[in-house]
Amino acid sequence: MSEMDYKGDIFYIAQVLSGRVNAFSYIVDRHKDRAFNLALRICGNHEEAEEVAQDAFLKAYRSLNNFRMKSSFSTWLYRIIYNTAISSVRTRKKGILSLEEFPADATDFIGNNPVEEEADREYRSSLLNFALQKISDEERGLISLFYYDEMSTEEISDVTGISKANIKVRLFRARQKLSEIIQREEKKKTMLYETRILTKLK
Amino acid sequence: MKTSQEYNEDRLKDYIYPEGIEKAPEGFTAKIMLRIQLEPVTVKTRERAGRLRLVPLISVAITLILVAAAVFLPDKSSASTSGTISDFMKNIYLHLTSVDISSHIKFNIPVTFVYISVAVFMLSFFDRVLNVFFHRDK
Repeated sequence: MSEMDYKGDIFYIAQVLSGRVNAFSYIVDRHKDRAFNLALRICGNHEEAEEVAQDAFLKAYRSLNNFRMKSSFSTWLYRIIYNTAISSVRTRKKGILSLEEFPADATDFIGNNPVEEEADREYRSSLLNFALQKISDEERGLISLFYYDEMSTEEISDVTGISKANIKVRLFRARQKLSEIIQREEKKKTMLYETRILTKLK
Repeated sequence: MKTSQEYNEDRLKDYIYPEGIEKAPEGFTAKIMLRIQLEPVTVKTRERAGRLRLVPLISVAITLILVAAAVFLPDKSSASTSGTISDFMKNIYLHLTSVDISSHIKFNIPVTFVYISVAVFMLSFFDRVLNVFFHRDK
């Protein structure tokens, strides 16, 4: 179904509530990419993110009757995904997904991309993902909602249940941490290149 | 001059590409729909919720009918309400077939046992009917 044909969340919710269960597939189709990405950024790995996103959709389906339409459906759904992802990460005690050290040589990590611009972009993206794994789950969620989903602090407050003022403070701290990690890794990369050039010159 | 926060924010934006979001895995929707169909828990539809709200209403209505019947039944012999009820109960004549098994089994079954058995049977039947009526979705 194309974007144009989509009749709006409320229409399909009404369909599901009147017994047409299959109407829920339109809602899933509409929101699955954003839902999966939010879960992915909080969880950090694809398998867990898929599981979390699916569980969140099921939870939403089961409590569709409780959706009061005071907030938008996507905000309500995001709240479920955010909470499911955070509790999933908290349950998984061992942080097996994060690398202790980011490979200073970017090509080790991202593979050989012939297009320099794309390779650089991939490197930056990977570096950010690495840095994201070094901050807390909650901070990761906030960064994700703010930057990737481009939500306002008010919308983030609706999703997370944290006050607007608190979100601003936490976002500020998260940005600082990420920036520090990125700077440190960039410095390592520069040093490695310098060493390589010096070795070649010798 | 940029504040520290603005600087950090600008730096982060160099690393974030919101347009490059990943697609959900293949068959994502199908998997969810399959799980929904396999799960015994189905979404409570508003229609069903409305029907469930009928339960207390029916209970209240039955109670009111019983109270009204007790109060307004014609008074024949006694003046009190309890007298009216006991008279009413006495006037209900149940004709149950008496079962004489004394020739086969050498012990007496109290007459009340037969009444209780019939009552249990009838209550079970009504319970089953009401259960089917209120849980039709399952």
